[in-house]
Amino acid sequence: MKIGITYTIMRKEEMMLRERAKDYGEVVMLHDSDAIFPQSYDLDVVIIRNVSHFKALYLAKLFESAGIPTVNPFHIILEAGDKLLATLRLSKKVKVPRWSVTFDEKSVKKIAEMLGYPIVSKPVFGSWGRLITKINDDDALEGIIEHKKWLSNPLYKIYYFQEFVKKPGRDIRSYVIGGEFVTAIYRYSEHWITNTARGGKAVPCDDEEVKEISIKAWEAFGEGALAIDIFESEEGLLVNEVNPTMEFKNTVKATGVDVAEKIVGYAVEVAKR
Amino acid sequence: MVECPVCGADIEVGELELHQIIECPVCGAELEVVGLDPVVLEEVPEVEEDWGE
Repeated sequence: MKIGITYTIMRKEEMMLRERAKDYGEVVMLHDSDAIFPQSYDLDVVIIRNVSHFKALYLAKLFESAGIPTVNPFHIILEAGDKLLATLRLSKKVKVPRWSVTFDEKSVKKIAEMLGYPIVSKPVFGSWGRLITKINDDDALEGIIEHKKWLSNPLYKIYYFQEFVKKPGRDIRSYVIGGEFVTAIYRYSEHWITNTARGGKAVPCDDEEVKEISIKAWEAFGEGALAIDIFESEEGLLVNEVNPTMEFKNTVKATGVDVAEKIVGYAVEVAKR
Repeated sequence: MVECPVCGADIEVGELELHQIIECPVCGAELEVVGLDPVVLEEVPEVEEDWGE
């Protein structure tokens, strides 16, 4: 078995994946600088680990076009990696925070009226809590829209909002890989943005309802290795978003679960199909 | 020993890998290993707008 792993920087996650992959065969690490197309790669499967969403997307497509399956595949990275597209899928299977989107700044006030303050402005792509803003009133909304005007990437002109969900000082991150629930953690933070990348503290979560909703959220996509973000709200569990290129070193530390082994095992299954 | 490109401190390094991230024990800068023979360190590239999970 020849397993490729594409990456941008060699984080602990990539090191763990490489070590696990060695148990199955030959491992080929492909840094951004190594991936040059067109050329043929002698690989059975590629685990896409580029920290850039768009590089990950294109690489998945390039390998797939060459007949090499990837984890995750292009359409999963595309739809899971975009907050709006992910919400469209998730909302068919699980409860999600109320949301709205418009494509012109003139309509954002209507959205604020529909959802009711406070609301949360999110870019449709991005991670680690970047550019996520809680908006409490019309003045703040106007300020955010004015700032977005000057951001050059056109994706920032897709005005996607969610209701603000009051959380109990924590949220939940779970992992479902190939349909199997792997593990979950609570992320505690005094700030309303709870990513561990922003200092959120990870504690194991052993809740049957979390397991059920996580599997349903995965089923909304039907394949892949997904990290799922869940809120505990007054109306029960809500799935906020999913992540197709999961970080997991803090989860491994907190739970002792070998997430890397699960990802690699799944990739090997995919290769054998 | 290799020099931190940010603060100039001498960093004792063991076995390293290309594109591995290490932290300078003196200034705390996150450094990427961009060369192995000899070892060359650079500051980790700045987070770009589509970086993440």
